[in-house]
Amino acid sequence: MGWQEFFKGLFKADINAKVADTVQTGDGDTFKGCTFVINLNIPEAAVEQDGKKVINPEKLSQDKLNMLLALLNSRTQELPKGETIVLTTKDNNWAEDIKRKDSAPDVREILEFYKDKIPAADLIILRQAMYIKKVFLERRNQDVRNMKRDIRDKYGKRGANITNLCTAGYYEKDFNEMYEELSKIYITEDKIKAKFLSLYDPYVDDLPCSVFVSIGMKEEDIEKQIVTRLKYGIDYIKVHGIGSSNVKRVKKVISVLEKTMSIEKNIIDDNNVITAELTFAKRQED
Amino acid sequence: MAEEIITFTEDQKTKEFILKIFGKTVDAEGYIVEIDNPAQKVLTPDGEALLFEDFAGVQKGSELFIKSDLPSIFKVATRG
Repeated sequence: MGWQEFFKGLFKADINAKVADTVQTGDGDTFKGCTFVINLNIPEAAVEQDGKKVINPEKLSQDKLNMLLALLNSRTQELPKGETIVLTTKDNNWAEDIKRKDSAPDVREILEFYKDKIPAADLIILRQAMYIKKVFLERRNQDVRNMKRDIRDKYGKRGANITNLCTAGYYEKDFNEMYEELSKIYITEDKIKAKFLSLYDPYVDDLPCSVFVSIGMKEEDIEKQIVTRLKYGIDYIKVHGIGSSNVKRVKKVISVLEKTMSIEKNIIDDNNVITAELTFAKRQED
Repeated sequence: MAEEIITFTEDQKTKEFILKIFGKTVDAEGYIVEIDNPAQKVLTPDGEALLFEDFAGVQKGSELFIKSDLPSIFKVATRG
C-alpha cells in the first residue's frame, strides 16, 4: 500500500491523473515533489487548492483514514533521523523562505568570510541574523521583532547584540574593515585571526562604541548609554535606531547633548533608519 | 528534506488531530503531554517543555517536537 492507492478516487478524474503522474515520477510509493496539507476545516474529504492536495481526515471513509494513518506511521518509521515528519503550513512556508534567503550570494559571501574568524556559536547566530536582516529589508517589522525575541530567548544578550550588529551592517563593513586593517599590520594568518578575535569578542559582548535604540528606551536611557561610554573614554559612538519614534528620540538626544558638548556628527537618516556617528571633542564641564 | 512534504494547518482542531496521531494531547496549562501519562510533558530537542501554541511539527528522532521559533525552524530549513 502506498500514497498512490490512498489518493485513488479521492480527487476528481483530472486531478487524479495529475496525482498519478506525480506518483509515477517517484517509485510508485513516493509522492514525489508534492505537498499535501491536512486540514480538518474543509467541507470535502479532499480538494486541490493552489496546486496542493488538501485532505480532511474527518471526512475520509474509515478505510481511507486507516490508510492515511498507516502511511503516516510508516513515514515516521522510515524517514532518516532529523527529517521532518510533519510541519504546520505556516512553518513550512517559513522554512522555504529561510532556504531562499539563506542561499543568496551576499549571505553566502559573508558567512564564508567569517566562518574561520569568529566562534562557531556566533556563526550560527550570524546566519540567522542575516535572515532577519533580509526580512527587515522587506519591512516585515512584526516578524523582525518576533525573531529578535526568539534570538534573545535562545542565545541571550550576545545573540541580541550579534543580531543588532548584523542589521546595522557591522559584519559587512566595520568588522570586515577591522580585519583588513589587521592584515596590514600582522603577517601570518594565525596572528591576524587571533588579534581580530581579541577585538571582536569583547566588542560583541559589550558594544563599547555602539548604542542600539529600541522601542522601550526613553530619551534619558539613550543619553545615559552614550554618557556611560564617554565616561570610559570612548569618544566615537555610533547610535542606531529603526522606526520614526526611535529616529525622533535619537535626534532629540543628540540636540540635548550638543548643548553641553562639542560633537562632530555624521547622521544618515534613510527611510526611518538612523545611524548617527558621533565624535565627541570636548565636554564643557571637563 | 523528504520528497513528499506533509503540512497541516495551524488551527486548533487540526493541530490536536496531528498530536493525537503521535499519542500526545494538551494539559490544562496548555503544554503538550503524553496521552498515556499526562504528567509527562513533551520536550523540544533543547529540553524545553512545549506549549500547544508554539507547536510547529514533528521530526524523526525518534520523535522530536519542533517549536515554532526562528532557531528551530532555521534548523529544519538548513538541515543537510
